[in-house]
Amino acid sequence: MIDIINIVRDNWILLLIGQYPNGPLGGLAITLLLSVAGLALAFPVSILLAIARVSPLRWIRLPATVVVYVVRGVPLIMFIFWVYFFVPLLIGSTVSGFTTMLITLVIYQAAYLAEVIRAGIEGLPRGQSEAARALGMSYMQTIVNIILPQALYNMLPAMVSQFVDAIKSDHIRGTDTVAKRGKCHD
Amino acid sequence: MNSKLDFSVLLDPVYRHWIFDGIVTMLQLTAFAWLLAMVLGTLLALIRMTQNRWAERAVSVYVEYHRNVPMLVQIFIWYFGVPTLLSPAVQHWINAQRSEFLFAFIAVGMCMAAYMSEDLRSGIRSIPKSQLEASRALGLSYLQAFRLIILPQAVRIALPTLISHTVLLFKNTSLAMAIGVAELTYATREIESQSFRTIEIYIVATSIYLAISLLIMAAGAGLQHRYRIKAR
Repeated sequence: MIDIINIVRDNWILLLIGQYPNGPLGGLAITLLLSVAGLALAFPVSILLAIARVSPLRWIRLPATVVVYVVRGVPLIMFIFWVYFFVPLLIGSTVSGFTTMLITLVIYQAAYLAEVIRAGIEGLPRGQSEAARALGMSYMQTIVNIILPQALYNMLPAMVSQFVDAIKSDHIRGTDTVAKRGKCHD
Repeated sequence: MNSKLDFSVLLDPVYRHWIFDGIVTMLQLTAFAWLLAMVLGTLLALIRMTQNRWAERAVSVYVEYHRNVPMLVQIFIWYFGVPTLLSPAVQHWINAQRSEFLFAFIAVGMCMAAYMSEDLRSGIRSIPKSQLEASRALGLSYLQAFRLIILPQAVRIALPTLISHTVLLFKNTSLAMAIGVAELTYATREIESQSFRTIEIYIVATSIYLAISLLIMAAGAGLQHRYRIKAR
């Protein structure tokens, strides 16, 4: 038991710093930073995705559905790889491991959160949106003022457990050799 | 990076063999871990239902540990940590077997058991207490009431979350790569580092994962349709 305390005491600095050339942050610090930044960005994206998923317009609903199903069906490790290869193609320059992981987390968490929010939206009685439309609100007004506040409130517990999942899921970075391999390719 | 996709390299018999073996190992791991998760999850839900304060607390500690520690860490604890606690003879014996497969299966199964038990518990909670009381009054034992009355309804109600956690279990078997289980992700990395056909092999692997996940989801939707509770 005393060994554990000694090991932690001698090596605690490794919880905070990363590898030498890639900057001073690593371990616990970067986990916290990634999850907070990832969640802050994923939350608005997930709301948009959820609204698209329940949209009456087919050409909005379909792409959103495809995104959600693909993300749900592919392991996170595979997904990190795809982001690592396709984001540089899109923006034309290489990206750091941090950016890769952040983009992956945002897309991944947004898809899962969108499903939670959609369940919240569909759980509301239809009368709510019908009444709002009858009172003269536009479709967007109904969504923003009537549907979303209630749906988000009802789904708060499920959303919190999804947030916890986001903090846990960035550990997969650890298995990821993609970033290291990228340097050999250059 | 190559601009042209060329899948013909992957038809090489060695690579084909690796991919096939990877798929088989992945499916074995999924099946075993799923069985362990379902059996253990049902047991945990059953223990939680007894309303013994200490048993309930023990189960909730189990669930919280497995839900809040990343699965990769759990796999590492099983693979690197647990064998050191065993006697050298047992360690020797384990190392002679497929120990990485064994520990990956235990880790994934025990972790997902926590999720499954929570799914089942929420299913059980949604069934009125009077059902259990009525079946006890009719002379069924506690276990009979659970098996014949409560569980069939609870499983049906919990089916959507059980299915999405089955998909999660399937996807998480890719983490077993980290301790050297030669499943599909492992095979993908091996082939990639030997053939340098990075994009191609990852397209193949991603399609396989996606296809099996969608298959599980479709099967789940079918089950849900077939066994829905008609009176509701």
